Amino acid sequence: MEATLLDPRMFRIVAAAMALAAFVGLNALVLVYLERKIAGHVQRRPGPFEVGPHGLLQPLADALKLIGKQLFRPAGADALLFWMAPVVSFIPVLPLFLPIPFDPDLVAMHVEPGLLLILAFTGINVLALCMAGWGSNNKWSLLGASRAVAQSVAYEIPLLMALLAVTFMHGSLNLSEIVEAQGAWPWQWNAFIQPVAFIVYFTCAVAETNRAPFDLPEAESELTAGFHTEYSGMGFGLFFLAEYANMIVVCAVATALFLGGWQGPFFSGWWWFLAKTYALLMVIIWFRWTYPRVRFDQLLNINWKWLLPLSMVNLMVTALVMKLF
Amino acid sequence: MSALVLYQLVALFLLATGLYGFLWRRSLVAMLICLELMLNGAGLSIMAAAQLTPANAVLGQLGTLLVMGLAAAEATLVLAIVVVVTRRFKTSEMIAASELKG
Amino acid sequence: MEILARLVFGFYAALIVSGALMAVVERGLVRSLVGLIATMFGVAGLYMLMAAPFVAFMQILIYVGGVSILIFFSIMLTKARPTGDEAKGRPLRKRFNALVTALAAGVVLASVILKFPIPSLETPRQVSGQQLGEGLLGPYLLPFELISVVLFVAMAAAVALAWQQWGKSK
Repeated sequence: MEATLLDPRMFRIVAAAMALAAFVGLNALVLVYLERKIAGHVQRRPGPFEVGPHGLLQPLADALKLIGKQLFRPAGADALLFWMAPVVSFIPVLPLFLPIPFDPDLVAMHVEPGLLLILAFTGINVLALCMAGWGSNNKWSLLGASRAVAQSVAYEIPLLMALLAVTFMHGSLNLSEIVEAQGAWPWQWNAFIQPVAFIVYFTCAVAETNRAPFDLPEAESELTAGFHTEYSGMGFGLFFLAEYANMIVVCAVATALFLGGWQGPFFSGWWWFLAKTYALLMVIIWFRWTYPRVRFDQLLNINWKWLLPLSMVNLMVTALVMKLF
Repeated sequence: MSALVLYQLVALFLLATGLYGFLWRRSLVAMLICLELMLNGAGLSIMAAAQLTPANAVLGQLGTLLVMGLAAAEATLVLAIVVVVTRRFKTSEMIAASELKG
Repeated sequence: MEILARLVFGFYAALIVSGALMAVVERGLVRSLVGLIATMFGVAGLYMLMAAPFVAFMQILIYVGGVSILIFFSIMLTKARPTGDEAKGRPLRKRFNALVTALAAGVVLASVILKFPIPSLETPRQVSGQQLGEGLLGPYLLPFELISVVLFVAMAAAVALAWQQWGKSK
């Protein structure tokens, strides 16, 4: 790839990166508002109502509060690790959005092994949890961090195998190609051709992003907020932002791989992509306020005894069907 | 200096640093970290040789992937051994576990 | 090489050098691990620069996402303390020995590389994922199957080594 500093391709990538950063920021604000409103209505109360009409400016108030809080770290905590952890949690989020096809020509970067990029950078979040847990010099944080790591590492395996089944079918790791191989109508989407893979992927994705009912590592009523106990202000804000951004990435990947991406029955375009991604995000938020939290041994049981064999059988059946028919 | 020579020198730096650390550190886990440094250096050297010379590029990339897989398997086993040694000697320092004199 | 390629190479090489030095010099084990992770990212960046994105992402997936976490867990399980045996001074002779060994290996190999340089291609070769797959299922099928056996044996052996009955620890 011959490239000089002032190549038009460089401008395109820089512009795309800035647009994606803005997208992530705006989405985080919208998601915070949606989460609290939906939580409120599910619990038969109005949710945020004071700040702005119907509480619309609540996320801005939250952001201002987080930015304004004093940053302090506990005595005895390793300064380097403590402050690196939120940064390491947030930085991999931006490369995650690069291969995602919002529109046929709205892809930040055409990466051949695009799916592999997403999987690789999703695994970095686990490191941030380790560093936060260890660097906090707090046994509850360490316990929360080790639970989070065990959970993340365990749920990566069925996730990889479910995605592998989709890759088998289309013979490519490139997200744009997989989107184009699906049709416009719902029955042509991968979710109908590979329902097991879709359900396994979605469940594992919810567990990977530490969302309820799998949110034991950051459980507010259990380990005093787990690995991010000792973080205040912007440190907590970065973890929080990274969690919402991971949610968006996971739903965007599910949309691209299983729900036909930007294709729709009429007027295909990026609005379909956003609509489908938001539908999945609402489902995730819905899960949080509907299901009770899963106990830790139950959580690992679900993975090793149900999701892993299910995804392996799905993979074998996919391979058999592809070879024989 | 050509590109290949630069990559090989970086790989060599990793090897030398890993070797120094392996001989210098006393804790078993720290020695494992230095071992991983050396393996990374080896992988980098293989890739540079494969990608930047007329040698078989597919073989080089597969070789690097195999080195990565083997490094992961070996790290798993070394860590299991470290856990057993810690249980037995109550510490993961190398000095405590060396019972031979001289 | 283009200016941009040189800049990017310099950045990743600096990352590798600082990460390796941090891994070797730092007393605390978790800081050592952070140095190792920085090195692994640097090496992944160099793989990308060599036009091998597949291997670069596998490097991040396997090393940063797997091996580093294994090492972190072992640090936690062995309750390593930065004030233990690591922090005590060691005789200068030991440092001298270690330095001489490492320098000997490095200098000898470096002089061989510099004295007999192999002509390098201008642009790295591009290998598609499909060719890698065909290689794994074609001429290199045996290593592919063997590595899965090795990984399985490693997993089973790790479980067997560290197995402890509940409530029966010493």
